Amino acid sequence: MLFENDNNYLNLLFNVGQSDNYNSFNNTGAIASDEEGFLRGNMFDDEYVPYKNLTYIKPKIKSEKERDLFKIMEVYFAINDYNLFLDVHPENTNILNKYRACTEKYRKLTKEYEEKYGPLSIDEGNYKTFKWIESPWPWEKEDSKYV
Amino acid sequence: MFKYNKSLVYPVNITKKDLRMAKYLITQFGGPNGELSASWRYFSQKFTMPDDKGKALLNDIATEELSHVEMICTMVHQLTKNATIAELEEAGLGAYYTEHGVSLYPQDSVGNPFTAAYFASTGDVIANLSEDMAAEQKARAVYEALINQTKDEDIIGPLLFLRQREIIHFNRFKELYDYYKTKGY
Repeated sequence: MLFENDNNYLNLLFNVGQSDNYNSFNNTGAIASDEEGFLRGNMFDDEYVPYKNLTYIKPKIKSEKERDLFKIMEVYFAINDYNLFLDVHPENTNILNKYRACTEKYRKLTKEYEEKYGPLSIDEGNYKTFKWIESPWPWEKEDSKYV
Repeated sequence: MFKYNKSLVYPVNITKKDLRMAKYLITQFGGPNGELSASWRYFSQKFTMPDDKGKALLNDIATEELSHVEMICTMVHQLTKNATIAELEEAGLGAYYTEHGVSLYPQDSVGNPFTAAYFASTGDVIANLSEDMAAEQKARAVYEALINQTKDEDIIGPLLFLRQREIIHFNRFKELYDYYKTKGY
């Protein structure tokens, strides 16, 4: 577990509460790496508010397949966070460019993963058998049988 | 329409059975400040947002909340794996077992079933966004309470992620709210 300064937490909370200008988050601050942003649940440094001394807990990676999937989840997370930001600030070209780069990376990683392990979405059907129904589903653990 | 991705939005891999935490956590599925309530609040409100920014943001946060519903359900499911009837009884989940076995059912931590009465959809953009901002803060508070109630890092990790998303959603809703105020709404 990582630790952050408590004062930082209070300052950020205070700033969020006091802000009444909708441009206040119109992003001048630093952007996290895909991995860091994903782990902490936020791409934008100036909006990050850790809880007490807790920042994030790194998920344990138990296989190559899991590592490959986490890479896709990281990029997808970045796309999602930029997406919400751009909904309110569509004119921000800095974030637009980051969003575009992530979508390209997502397509590439997804294609590689699906060739190796099977479909992540139903419109990827380039297999001889109907692999979509194969376990595990996302709510199952790799090594678990529930039925 | 919706397209399903065969992946969670953030990893959940709980190794220790914990029926006490399962009983508390389920409120973020079907309780008043839970993810189901959040997703259908924004989904219902999106149809009458006045412009592109509002329609997009409400649509996209509603969609993200559905992926959070799946995360919470996954956590509860994994926390209850291999539970015996005696253990469920002891954790206060005996009545839950009667009604639902160990299936997922949207309810709060004391057993009240999910109801659409948990959210509003008023037709007034300022009233709707004020509610949305409050909803994100209430969900953040519940996640902090849940984090305080466990020492299991397998549970705390995903909860910290979900808590941070509430903060980001609040910020986006507030930006939209302030923008609409400058537009005279």
